[in-house]
Amino acid sequence: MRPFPKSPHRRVALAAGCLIAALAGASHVAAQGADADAEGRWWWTASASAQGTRLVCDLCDTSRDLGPALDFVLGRYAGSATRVGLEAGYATTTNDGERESVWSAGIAAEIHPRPGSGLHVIGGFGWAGYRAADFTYDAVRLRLGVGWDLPLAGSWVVGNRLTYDASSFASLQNDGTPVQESVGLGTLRFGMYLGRR
Amino acid sequence: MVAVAAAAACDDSDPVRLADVPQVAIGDAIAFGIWSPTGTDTCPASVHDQYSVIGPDSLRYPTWHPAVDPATGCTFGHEHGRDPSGSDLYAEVGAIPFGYANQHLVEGGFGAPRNEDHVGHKVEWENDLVMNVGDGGSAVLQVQCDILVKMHQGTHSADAFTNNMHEVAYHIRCSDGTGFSATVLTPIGTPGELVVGCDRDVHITVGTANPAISPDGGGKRAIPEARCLQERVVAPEDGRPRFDSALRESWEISVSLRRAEGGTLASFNPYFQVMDPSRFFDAGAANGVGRPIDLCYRPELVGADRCEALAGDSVGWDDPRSPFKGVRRFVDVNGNRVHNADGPEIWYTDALGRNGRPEPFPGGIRQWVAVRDNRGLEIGGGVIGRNRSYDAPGVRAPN
Repeated sequence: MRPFPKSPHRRVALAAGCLIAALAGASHVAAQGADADAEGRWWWTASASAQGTRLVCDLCDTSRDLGPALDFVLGRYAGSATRVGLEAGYATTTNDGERESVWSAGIAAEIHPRPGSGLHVIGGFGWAGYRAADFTYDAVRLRLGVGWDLPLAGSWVVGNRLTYDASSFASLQNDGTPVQESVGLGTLRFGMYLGRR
Repeated sequence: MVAVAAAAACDDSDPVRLADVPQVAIGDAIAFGIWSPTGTDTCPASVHDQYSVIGPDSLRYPTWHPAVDPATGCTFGHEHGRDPSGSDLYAEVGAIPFGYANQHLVEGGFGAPRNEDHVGHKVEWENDLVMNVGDGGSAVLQVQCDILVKMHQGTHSADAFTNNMHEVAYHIRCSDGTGFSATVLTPIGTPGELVVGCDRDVHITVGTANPAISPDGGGKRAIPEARCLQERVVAPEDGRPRFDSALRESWEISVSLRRAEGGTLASFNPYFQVMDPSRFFDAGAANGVGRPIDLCYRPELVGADRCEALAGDSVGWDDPRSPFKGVRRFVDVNGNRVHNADGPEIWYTDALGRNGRPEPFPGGIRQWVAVRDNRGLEIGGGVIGRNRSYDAPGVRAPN
């Protein structure tokens, strides 16, 4: 019998550290150019992506095809270069004939390190839920990513974004019974978005 | 020539072994030495008896051997399935003693003996078998198992028409930690009756089981009956005879090792299937035994389907040239459950798998159960030996 990969705890801890550091740094830079007039303005983003999913545990099947993903974020500006919001997402793929879904919900933040530039850092945290037949997985999720706004008319923008979500420290359950502990879930999404700023 | 017992006894520290197998036998088990050549068999009993293993009880048991003795070239006329030495579990388990549970049945408190013939012991195994996990879980989790199993499944006589107690030795180790080694005499279905293979709703009471106190068991012995042959071979609706469909025999066992205080330690329910048994149940025949080979001599079936192999020859039911000798078999592994989270690994049960306790007792059989509870995983599925045939020179019914 083949050995199976070990727990992904360290990988998630590293990702969380990177996320915190990136957000802290970006917030500092953004705060220097903050525009008080932008505060409180609504913004939203709807994105369509291709998602790669990796479920990590001793027994997990780690290979999956890419699948489509949708995300929607709605929030308000905390400053001219900083916006926060609530986000929800869904992704699906077929693995060995079984439909798998990854749901997500939580708080998102987008920060432009250089005011006036389209480049922004994406961060967030919340919940991730994996579903495949009777198998379920629910965990705290951290998100880190980057995006690039391309202005359209008025406040409309399009762009590309790349995000990575990492979850860990939760059990995989079959019909309510835990069957694997310390399971990790990683999702990488790359896609396009449309939004208003 | 074949001191297979020694191979199983090298590492005393390995807790997986059935026991610290003794090097010297203190006597012979009931199952040892009961085979002798008949008909076209060319090996003497003395050659056959060289294939033996010393059990944990220090008695000598028969064990697996090839159908043709490699040293002399003589034939035994029967086979025991797949050579267990190729199994990844063989180093742990060693050679399987045939008749070990039978031997200890009475000593463990059962009120009557149950002994089985030699040729019915059949070995099957597979390494790295990819298992199904739960409902749709195979896409989520990957579980592989090594499985080594020996079932006594005689398909040549009237024995299984009434007798439901048959020995099984079942060893499984999986990548998720699921594992157990169980040797029991398991009751399969209701004693004294069989289930008609081609119509599972029909149960036929054939007679009194041996022993008469055989308990009811889970599962069933689905055995072909004359009506199955009539409907699917002699007068099939589409005019095309299908022996495999009519004769397919399925012993669907349901085994558990149980604690003395109640509760299951481990359970499994494989199906043992034989496509070419040399008998079927015929209430009108002597002892209820019909022979499928006889159908090949009906004018409308000469050369048809499985009878084609006869090429016009007229052979008896126990002739090596018969296409019906129980050599095409496979095993549906099905479910494997372990509920032993608190241990220990070593348990002793009676021959029926009951009364399990951590300490030995007279007639107790040493079982090994991984310290694990695999509830929720629902590991099962997998077929072993679907396309294998164990036909070999000299092999014939009874096999």
